[in-house]
Amino acid sequence: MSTPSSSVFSYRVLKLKSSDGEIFEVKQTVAVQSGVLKQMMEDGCTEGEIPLNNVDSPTLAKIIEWCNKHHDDDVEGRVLSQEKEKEKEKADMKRWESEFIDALNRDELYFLLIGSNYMNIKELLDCAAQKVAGMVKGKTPEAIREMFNIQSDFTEEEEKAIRKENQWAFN
Amino acid sequence: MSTLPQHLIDEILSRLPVKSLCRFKCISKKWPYLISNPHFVKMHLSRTQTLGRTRLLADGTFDLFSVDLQTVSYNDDKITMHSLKFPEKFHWITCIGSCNGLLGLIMEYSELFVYNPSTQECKEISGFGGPTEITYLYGFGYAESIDDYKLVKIAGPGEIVEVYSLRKDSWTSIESDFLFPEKYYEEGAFVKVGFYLNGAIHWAFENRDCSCVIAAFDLVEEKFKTLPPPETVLKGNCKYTLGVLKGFLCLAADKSDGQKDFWVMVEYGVERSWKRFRKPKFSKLRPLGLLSHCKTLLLMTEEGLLMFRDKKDKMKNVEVGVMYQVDDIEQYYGLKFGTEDSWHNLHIYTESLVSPEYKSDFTTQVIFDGEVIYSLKSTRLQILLSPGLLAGIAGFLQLFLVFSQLLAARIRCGIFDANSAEVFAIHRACQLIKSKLELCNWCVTIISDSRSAVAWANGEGFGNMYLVQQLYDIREFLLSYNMVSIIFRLCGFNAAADCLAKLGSSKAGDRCQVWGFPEKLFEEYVPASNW
Repeated sequence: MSTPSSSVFSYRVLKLKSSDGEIFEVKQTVAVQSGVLKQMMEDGCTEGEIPLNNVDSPTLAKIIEWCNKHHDDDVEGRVLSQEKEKEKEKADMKRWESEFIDALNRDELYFLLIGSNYMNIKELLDCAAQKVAGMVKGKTPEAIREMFNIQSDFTEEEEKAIRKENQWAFN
Repeated sequence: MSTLPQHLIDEILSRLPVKSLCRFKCISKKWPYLISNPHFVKMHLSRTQTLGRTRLLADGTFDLFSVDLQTVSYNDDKITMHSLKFPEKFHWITCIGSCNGLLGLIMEYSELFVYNPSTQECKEISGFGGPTEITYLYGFGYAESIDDYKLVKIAGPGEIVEVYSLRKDSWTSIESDFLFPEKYYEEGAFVKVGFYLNGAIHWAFENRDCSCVIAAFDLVEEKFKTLPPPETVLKGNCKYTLGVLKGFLCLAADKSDGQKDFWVMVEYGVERSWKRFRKPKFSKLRPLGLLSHCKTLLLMTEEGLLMFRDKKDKMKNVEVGVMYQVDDIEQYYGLKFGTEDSWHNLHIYTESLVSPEYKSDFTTQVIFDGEVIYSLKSTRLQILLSPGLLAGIAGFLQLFLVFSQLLAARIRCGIFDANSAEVFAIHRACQLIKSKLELCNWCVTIISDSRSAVAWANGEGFGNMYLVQQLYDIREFLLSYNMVSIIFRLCGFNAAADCLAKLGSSKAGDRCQVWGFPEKLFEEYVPASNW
C-alpha cells in the first residue's frame, strides 16, 4: 500500500472527530487506508477536524487500532526478500486479525461494519463481514431474525410451505 | 439492539454457503427475492470463487458424487465422496461441463440436463435428440457479455453445430465449415467433452496433417476459431488433452512412443505465452484444481487422481471412492479411471445460487409517464417516458427500462444537448423506481448516455444548487436501494459520474461506473424503432 506520495505527508496528522465529539489524531500514512480520507487528502481538504458522523469513539478507536497495525511505513526500510519472513509476517498478521475481531461482541462488530463501510476500509470490512458470516452460517432462521432484527411476515402456513420446499437445507 | 443496513447484510450473506442461504429463505417474504436476485447471485458467486468454495465431482454411474475440497488435504490417502442424490434415475451420467456452479449433464447418450448441485435445482433440456450411435462433441459454458449459459452439441465431423441457450430456453442450428478429423471423433469415447474457458468451448486434437489443433467455439459469436498451439509441441501420433487451471488453458500431449509434454498458455490466445513444464510421468495430464489451504495441486491422469505438493516436489496417487447406498446400507466403492470399463471422470465445481430454471413468464410492459399502457408476455419490460414529460429541461429525453430475469433492468437516458439533463434524467429514473416499490427488489441498472452533458460540472453546473441537491438525492437513493446501479455510457471524463463517486460513500461510488457500452447487447433488447 506504499504509494509514492505517502512519504510526502508522512509527518502530517489528521484530526478525526467521532460522532460523540472525541478527537483522534491519525498519521496521514495510516489514514490512507480509508478510501474516504485518502480521497479527501488528494483533494486537499483535510484541514481542521474531519467529522465522522457515523462512527462513535469506541468504534473509531478500534478502526484506528486496526489501521495502525496494518499501515506499512515501517516496512519500507526493511527488505523482506526472505520468503519465510514474509510468510511468518503474514501468519502473525492473520493471528492478530482474528484475535482483534474475536474480542468484539455483536454490537461492536455491527458498529465496526458500519464504520469501516462509511470510511471505506475494505480489508477491515471484509474481515468483520467474514466474522459475522461465520456466526450466521449454522444458525436457524429464528436466530437470524433475532440477529438482524427482522420480523417474519409469513403466515404459519406460508412458512411451513417454504420450509418444506427447502427441507434439505435444514438437515 | 443495533440494526445493520441492508447492503451490509448483503455483504455478510454473500459470504455464506448456499445451504445456509436456502435455509434462510423462510426468514421473511423479502428474503427469497433477496437470495435469488440476479445481482446478489453474481455477488455471491464472485465471493465464493474468491473464498475457493469448490467441490470435487465424480460422474459416470447412477448418481453424482461430490466432496468439499476444503476438507481434503495432502495427507489423505483416500478421498471419499458422497451422493448428490440426483433426482432422476439413469444408468450413466456424464458431466459435459461445469461453469459457475451449473453442470451440463448427459444421460445415457440422449437426455440433457442442467443441474445446480448446491441448490438441487435441475432442468431437463427438451428438444434434444438425434441418433445415439454416433459420436457427439459437447460443451457447456457461460457467455458473459450476453449473460447466457449455452450447451453445444456437435455431431462429427461438425457441419452443424447445435446450440442451446438457457436464457432463451431454445435450440438453434448453426452451419459450420470447421470440420473435425474423422480420426478424432471416431476414436475412443462416444462423448467428446470440450473445455470451457473465456466464453468459448475448447477441443484439442491431431489434424490430418499431424499438426496439433486447438479449436474454440465462441459462445457469443457462435462460431469456431482456432488458438495457436505451442510451436514445439510433440507432433505425430499424439493425443492431446486440454485442461483449465485458475483460468489458464493447459495442454498435455501423449505421443504413441511414450513421450509426454505439458504446456500452460499464460496469456490466452497468444502463441508465445505457452510455457512448457517438465516432462510429466503421467498420461493425459489434466489439472483439476488447487487446494490453496494445503498448497496442493489436484491432477487428473489416465492413471487416476494425483496430488502434487507445491515446492516439495512430491507427487502421490490418491484413491477416490464413493459412498453408495444399496438396500439402505451405505457401501464404499472405489472408482477406477482410465480403464476400458471405466466411465468415471472427475470435475470441479463452485457452489453457487445460479438457477438452471429461467422463469419464462416475464412480462413486457410499456409504461408511459409511469402508467402501464401495454403489456405482453415476453422477456422484457420497458418503461418509456414521453419526451414531453421533460421537454422543458432536456429538450430530448428518453428513458427505457428493460427488464430481463438475468440481465437486470436497465434504464437508458438518452440526452444529447443539455448540460444538466443527465443528472435530471437519472434523478427522475431514481424517483420512478422508488415510486414503484416492486422495482426496488429488482436489480436495476440505469444506463446514462451523456454525449455532451459534461460541461455543467465544470464550473457553471456545480454552482447550481438545484443540481447539487439532485446529486445528493441520487446518492441517498443509491445508498438505500443497493440493487440499483448507474452506468455512465461515456468513455473518458464524465462529470456526473465523477461527482457521484466523490459525493457518495464508497458503496454508491462503486456502483457508478463509466463504461464503454456493449452496443450489440442493448440492440438485442431494444428494437431500433424505439431510439
